[in-house]
Amino acid sequence: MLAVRSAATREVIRSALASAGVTVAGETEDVDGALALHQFHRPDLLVVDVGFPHVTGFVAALEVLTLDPSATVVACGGMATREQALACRRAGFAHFWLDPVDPAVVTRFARARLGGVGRAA
Amino acid sequence: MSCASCSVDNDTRRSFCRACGATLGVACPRCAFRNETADRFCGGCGTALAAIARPVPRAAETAAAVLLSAKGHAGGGAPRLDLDVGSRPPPTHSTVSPLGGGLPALSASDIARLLAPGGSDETASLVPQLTQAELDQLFGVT
Repeated sequence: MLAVRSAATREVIRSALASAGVTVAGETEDVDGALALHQFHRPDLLVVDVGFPHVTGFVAALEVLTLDPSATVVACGGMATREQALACRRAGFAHFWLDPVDPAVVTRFARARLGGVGRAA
Repeated sequence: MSCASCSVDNDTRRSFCRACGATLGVACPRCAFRNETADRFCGGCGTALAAIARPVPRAAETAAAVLLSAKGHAGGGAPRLDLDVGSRPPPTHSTVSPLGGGLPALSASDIARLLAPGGSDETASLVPQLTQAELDQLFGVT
């Protein structure tokens, strides 16, 4: 599931996931709604626009990880310092994708962590 | 990890004391590793901790959470999740580290500090941003 503000970024991620055999079950630009959508879809992967310095996406992702520690959640944002990335890692994020997102990074992650075909994001 | 406030032993993964709710340990400003209160050097990166502020009182943690909420609203966010953060009991903040493995959980103040515009200190604008390759390495996705 993609909770990312930018439609262009969602398109890139969706296409890259599709090439790895992962279907996107839901999309929203309403990052605050990530938690509710995650609870509804229970996807194998949740991509959340953390959009530093705005924190609503980050907080929503923390809520998801608190309720479902086994969830695979990837942060997506335009920049990240080492400290911010470490914070994401410690919070349980599986990865951090810099925006503009490199499709190869998405594909590699999907194949490595999701096993590719048949999974739903 | 022993609580500096009430001396009760706590699991090293905890950010807040199980008995009194006080903040446990000291987060390293360089690598965010949570050290024991009495530690002089960071167990994660070796940075000297002598000049670092000691544990933050719970009232300050709450204030940090409120500050975090305010930042969320400034970004156009809905209030529901922000209010959840502000009103959540402190121990819940320590439950967001499913990785375990010695990686400490985040507290409200950690999050507020880390997500502050420009970073976490006065020289934040000079802090280099990570590349995707560096992020891949940090998260073990190569």
